[in-house]
Amino acid sequence: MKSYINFLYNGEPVHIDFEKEGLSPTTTLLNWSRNNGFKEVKEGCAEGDCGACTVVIAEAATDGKLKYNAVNSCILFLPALDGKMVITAAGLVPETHNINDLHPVQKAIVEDHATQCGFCTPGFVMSIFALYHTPDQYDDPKINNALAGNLCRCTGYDSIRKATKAALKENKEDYYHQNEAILLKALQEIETDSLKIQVGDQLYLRPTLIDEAILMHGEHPEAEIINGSSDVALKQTKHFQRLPALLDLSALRQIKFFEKKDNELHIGSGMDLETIRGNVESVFPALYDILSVFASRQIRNVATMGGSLGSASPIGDLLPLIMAMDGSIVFTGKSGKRTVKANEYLTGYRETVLNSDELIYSIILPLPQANETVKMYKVSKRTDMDISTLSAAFRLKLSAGKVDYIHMVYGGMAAMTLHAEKAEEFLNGKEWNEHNVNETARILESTFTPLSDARSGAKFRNIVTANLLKKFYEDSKEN
Amino acid sequence: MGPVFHDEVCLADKELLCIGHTYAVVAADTYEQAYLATKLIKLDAEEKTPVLSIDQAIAANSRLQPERKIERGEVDKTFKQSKHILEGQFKNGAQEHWYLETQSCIVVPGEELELMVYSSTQHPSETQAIVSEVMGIPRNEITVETRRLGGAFGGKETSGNHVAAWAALLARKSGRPIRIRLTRDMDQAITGKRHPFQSDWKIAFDDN
Ligand SMILES: Cc1cc2nc3c(=O)[nH]c(=O)nc-3n(C[C@H](O)[C@H](O)[C@H](O)COP(=O)(O)OP(=O)(O)OC[C@H]3O[C@@H](n4cnc5c(N)ncnc54)[C@H](O)[C@@H]3O)c2cc1C
Ligand code: FES
Ligand code: FES
Repeated sequence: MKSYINFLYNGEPVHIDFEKEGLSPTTTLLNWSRNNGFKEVKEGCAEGDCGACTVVIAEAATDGKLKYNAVNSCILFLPALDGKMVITAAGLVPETHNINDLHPVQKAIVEDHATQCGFCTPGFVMSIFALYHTPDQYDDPKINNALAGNLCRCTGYDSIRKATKAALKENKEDYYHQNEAILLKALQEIETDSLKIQVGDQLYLRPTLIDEAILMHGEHPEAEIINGSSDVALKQTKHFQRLPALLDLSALRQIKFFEKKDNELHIGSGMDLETIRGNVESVFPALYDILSVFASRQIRNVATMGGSLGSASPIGDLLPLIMAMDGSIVFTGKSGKRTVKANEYLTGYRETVLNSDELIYSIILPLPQANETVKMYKVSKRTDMDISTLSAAFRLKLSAGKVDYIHMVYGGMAAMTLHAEKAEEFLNGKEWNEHNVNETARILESTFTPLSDARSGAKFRNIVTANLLKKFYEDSKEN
Repeated sequence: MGPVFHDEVCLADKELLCIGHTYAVVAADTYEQAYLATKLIKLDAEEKTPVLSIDQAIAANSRLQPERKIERGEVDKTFKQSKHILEGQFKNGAQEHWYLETQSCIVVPGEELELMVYSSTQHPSETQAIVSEVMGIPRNEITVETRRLGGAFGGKETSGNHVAAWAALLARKSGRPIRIRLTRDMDQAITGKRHPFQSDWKIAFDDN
């Protein structure tokens, strides 16, 4: 147990002893960077939406290589950096005024006129730099998706996309390729251990083993759990609330797993959403699709499955699909593990059956079968990087043209994610045809009594609820 | 100060006209301290019925300026004689500039009355004029420097002046350099942005 962290910042070692320095452990990486002279890290929103604060965090992956992830430094607390490497736009090459000495990503930005006022540029550079170190076949949709978490108000995205392509094509070795072995060694030499930081009346716990986490959770029931902190951090960064006690699960390797067993996925609650997305493109397209419009790449790189379930938000984008698939959630606590059906997990607005001494350990998600059609739709004001106005997951099995079973689960239509039970019952055993779908759509229009809020009116939500079934019907014909 | 009509006060004293209408500014060593200090301010105010839409404003005769018309042709005569008349209304919503860098300003007090103002303004000479008026000092005591600033799209032509004036007041009062940087939420609440418009139209035409 220690109260300090060590990490590399643009290759230089940094040591922070929170208690000695009297530094709040929930200092964000953005604020720490700016207060220490790294002004290239910008704040545009302090809530993960604009990408101006994007930096890259590199760490040793299971294959022994460095993995580079773009993240929003505005909603990342410092302890999450223990044993890792932070890279900012000023750390790509030594300071230079010669365009030929710039990093290929920076050079492409200049040559393709992909910057104007420049406030967004260091963030874009870092998102593109992460791609530069993550080999893939990058086409326009992939680049758009990877940059969806970066806003630019001046330049226009076309030139930025052009610069991205030019940089990725160039693909010259940079400082980080050339020094990978040295950097890896430097990271391995950092001893990482559980953290217990007490500064003033603020407590920050970051265990490395699950049993330790359960114990700490028991000793400090007041501590709020975080993993990616992409939800909880906003309390502080946007609403200026104090976070008096936190239990950070992001160092628990035991809950970072992804396994395909027979027809099920077993996903650890600490697994980040971007890695899950990368693993399910072919085995579970509906999950891939919804994850592709879940926040942004920067958020998905830190946000976890456990965090999505733990926030129990009625507009959370994963629960509808998990419920439609009849998945299960595994809890762990002092008295061991227990499994509950996802359909029995929620009990009310942000209320669940998780006991106060338990943690979410994993989920078990059945995969769609060959004779099933599974889709999920998200309706939001923007396609990318937006919170759902409403969402719907559908799972259908037909035999001889008749509905064997259908699951329709809606988010954003009530205080919690819900099945459209009446509509499901109505369709069971019936022909899967336009007439019956239209009849069901009529039922759906009055199934829920949703809220009117900034995202849309109740009437719109009801109409769309019905229309999504019609869309699903059309899409199901393609299967 | 303010765009076109210069009808915005530096800090509200008698009347608060909207959410975000600033009536006090606080200086502190850290952002958090300043924020917490603002929570301690007790406002002694009496509530009035708010005017929230253009229709309500017209009904309450609470107009920003006289009604404006754009007319073409011999309007009165043509409307009487024409075979067809169409009329309607269109509304343009308000727009936020959403410059990626929020309004910010540093003011460093110099010798005697001097103020060095680093402002993210698109209009340094107006910033100088307004700081001079607010502080009651000649313009030549004030130097405004604008370094590179985040693309502003007009949103920093006039809105930055409030921030500069507040920083100047605090700098004078404390005798120390003052930096103000609005959070995104504050920026959106405080700055004017593009007003909503409501336009009634009427058109007369014949068969040809
Ligand atoms: C800009 C932005 C965009 C977003 N877009 C989306 C979106 O499109 N769709 C969407 O659904 N959400 C979205 N979110 C919300 C959020 O990112 C997700 O809910 C994310 O999955 C949270 O994961 P996390 O690990 O960061 O959670 P954290 O913030 O660390 O935790 C979230 C909650 O889960 C609890 N929790 C975490 N892990 C556990 C555990 N193992 N056991 C018990 N409780 C636990 C915490 O106590 C907390 O209440 C967005 C957030 C931001 C800031
Ligand atoms: S400051 Fe906007 S995403 Fe971090
Ligand atoms: S260049 Fe100004 S916001 Fe992108």
